[in-house]
Amino acid sequence: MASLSKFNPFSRRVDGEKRFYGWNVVGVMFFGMFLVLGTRNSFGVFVDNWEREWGVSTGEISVAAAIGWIINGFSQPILGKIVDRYGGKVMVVVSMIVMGVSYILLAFIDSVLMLAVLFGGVISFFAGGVSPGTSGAVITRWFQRKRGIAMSVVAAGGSLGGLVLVPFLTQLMLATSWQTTWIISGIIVLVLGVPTSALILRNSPDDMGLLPDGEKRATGSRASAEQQNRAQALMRGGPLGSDSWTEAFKSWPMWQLSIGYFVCGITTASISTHFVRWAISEDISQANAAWAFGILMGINAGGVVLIGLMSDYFQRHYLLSLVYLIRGVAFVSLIILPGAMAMWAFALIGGASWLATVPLTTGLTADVYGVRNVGMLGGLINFSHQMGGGAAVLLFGLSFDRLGTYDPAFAFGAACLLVAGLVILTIKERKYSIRYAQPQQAAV
Amino acid sequence: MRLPTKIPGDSVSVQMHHTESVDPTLAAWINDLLKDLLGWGPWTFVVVLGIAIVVIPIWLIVSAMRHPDLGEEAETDAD
Repeated sequence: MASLSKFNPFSRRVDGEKRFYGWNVVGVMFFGMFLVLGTRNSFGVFVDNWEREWGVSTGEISVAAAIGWIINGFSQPILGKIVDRYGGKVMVVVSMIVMGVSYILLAFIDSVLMLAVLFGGVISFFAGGVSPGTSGAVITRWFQRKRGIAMSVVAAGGSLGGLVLVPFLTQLMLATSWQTTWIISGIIVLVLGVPTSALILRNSPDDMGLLPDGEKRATGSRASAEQQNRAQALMRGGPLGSDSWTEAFKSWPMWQLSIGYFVCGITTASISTHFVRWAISEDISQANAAWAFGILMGINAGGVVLIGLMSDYFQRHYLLSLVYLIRGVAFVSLIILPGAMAMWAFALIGGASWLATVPLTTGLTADVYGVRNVGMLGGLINFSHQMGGGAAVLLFGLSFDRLGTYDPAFAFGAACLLVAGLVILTIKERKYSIRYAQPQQAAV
Repeated sequence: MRLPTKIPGDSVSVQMHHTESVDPTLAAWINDLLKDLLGWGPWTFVVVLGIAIVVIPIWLIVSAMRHPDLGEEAETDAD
């Protein structure tokens, strides 16, 4: 059993040593993503009430959501840059305070314009402060060897937030009113999220006199110098690491990762938005569709942790490529299998790949370009995800309206995923990642 | 209060993934499924899920406060 404990990535004590504080930081970021994504995911639950009370259409409310989508995309590199410079703690705490207060204010609005300003503008902007990009900027400072599993636990927080908070807020709204539900959402963020982040979160292990991954401080002068070199290499990244984030765009991996994430945006946003319409077009029952989506999200949370754990032992670009190709198979199953069978195949195959791109992409970005600019670069890669998603939602909808079937759109999605898988496969991780740098190279 | 039941798609509906909203119709379907499955009323759901939501940060704070590194940091600040 003693040997088994060494393989436990969350092990409280290994060989009698205390647990690394970085796991507490992972816990806080997990909860931050849980709260922020969970409450934001609940937006759709309120749509019908706003339509009835304000006398507006779904399309008008969707404009507010669309504004939020764009602003959230733009905010991530901006807030990521601030995190790179000032650390994640202030950003997470400030973002949660602004979001909590804004949720309470949402209870007092009575027009789409105010919704667009508050939700589309303020909330969506500051949601970028607790996003995969900014979380990555915090976590990659704390972890190098266990970066994959740490990032994947944080990403799973967002997925579980949707699974728990959406039904919670839905039932709360049924029991009370939509106004009370937003007020309680705000109180939850302010009372639970803000103190947890303020008390526990630390920007980097250096703030507590610790080393990444909980490494013990070396005692000898030579060992100590080697350790310092490794810490500097973590900041600097591989041979492509630079002080300036703009330099990243002069190298292939940044473009390869952005292309992959653009396709990730195309394929996940299109399914999220068009799933119901597709299920109805295939005569799938409501209960079956609800079950399948729930199972997809459950497998998603488990799959992301498993793949994150694997990525600490294998080259990340192989796994990322595999994730895109598996998702491609899921898209093909939507075309070739009959209705209900296609849905179950997609839930099982696609579920494993749904969120796994997040820790792998963030981990690779930090491995190649270092953690100095990972907030900014991660934010820019996320921006490409948002743009891909926004375009795909419109194109898939237009395709269905014109052709009466989603098959050509799914075929397009599968083709994009094949391209993404191949593009990611060509990343020269051994050459560019700090994980594979020789000791003398890392010390330069 | 009632949940949405209409089918989306007659307008440019931009409800997204990762950082955006659950589909309103899908939310209603999942709600119906949970109700059929568990037979709980809204307040039962609120209490059970509410406990789960509150327990996470309490556990996180207790775990961090008991961590020796945070204690050492507080002592250093006090000095």
